[in-house]
Amino acid sequence: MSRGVNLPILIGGLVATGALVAVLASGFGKDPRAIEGSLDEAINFSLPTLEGEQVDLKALRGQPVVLNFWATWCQPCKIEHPYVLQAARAYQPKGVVFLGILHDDEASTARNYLKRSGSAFPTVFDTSQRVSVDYGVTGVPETFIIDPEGRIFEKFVGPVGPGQIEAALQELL
Amino acid sequence: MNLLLALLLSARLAAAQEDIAFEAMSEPPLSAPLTEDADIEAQTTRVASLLRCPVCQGLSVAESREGLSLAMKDRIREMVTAGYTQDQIIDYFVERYGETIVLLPDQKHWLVWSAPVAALLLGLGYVGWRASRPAPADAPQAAPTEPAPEAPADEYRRRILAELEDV
Repeated sequence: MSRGVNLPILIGGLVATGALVAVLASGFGKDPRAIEGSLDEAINFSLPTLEGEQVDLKALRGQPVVLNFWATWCQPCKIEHPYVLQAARAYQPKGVVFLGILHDDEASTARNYLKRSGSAFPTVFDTSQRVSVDYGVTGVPETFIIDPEGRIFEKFVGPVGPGQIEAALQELL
Repeated sequence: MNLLLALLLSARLAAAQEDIAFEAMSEPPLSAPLTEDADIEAQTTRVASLLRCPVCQGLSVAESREGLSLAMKDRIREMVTAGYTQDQIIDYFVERYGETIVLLPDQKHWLVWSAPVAALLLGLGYVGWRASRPAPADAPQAAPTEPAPEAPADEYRRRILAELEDV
């Protein structure tokens, strides 16, 4: 014996299911842990380098700056290290300033690592992680490209690939 | 008996050692000395409890012992001391980490807040409507005075019993 279709219930069910599918579909392809900040002004800081010199970001205004947050315990940082060095060697002569920011790590460990793996630019250390918080960094590596006016031009979360920094700088210059 | 006692004692001792180890693990790590002003500390904890630890699963900044959360809490304390309001501090973190840093959705997302209430009201309304609706006029109604028609199962039972009697 067949029963007639209850039209109001059918329509209600379809509307509820449609709304649920629309909500879920809008989230497909998105990383739920992804952090999407809207910071566009580079925050100033003054931190010592591993060699003991003080670096003030404000003093670098007028030049593009590449900020690379990294740590020696971070494997993806080791993967991207040669690519960051390559970009620095190519663009420092063109007036781009490269600066590493040591995140949650020891200065002596970083010095030893850079001695072994090579270095092309200074690294400052942020013992309190204050600069990491100011830039909305959640993990390392993260790389920020700041334009000469002090605005954040590009942000890379995770390790950069070969040529990625160069492509962004090409666009900026 | 002595063996049983010894086993019970050693089990109790092991459990006590585990408790001590757990207490030692759950002790907060040494961090910067707390501010003298208890109000500042209370306000810091209140704001920190509204923010999600970005590197943890389901923990607020106030609950987490991750280095980044401790740094965020230090920043909140600094801003509270400087006189920033709760909304200003939350805006500072939203600008850097996006809206997902806030544990509760913003009031502007009215649909998120109103949808569960609307669904509950709709459900209650539907149940109420169904309960108060009179039965349809064409629905078959059993007359109390007439005997109920014999159900097919009873008919089969009667026939089986009749055939068994014949055997």
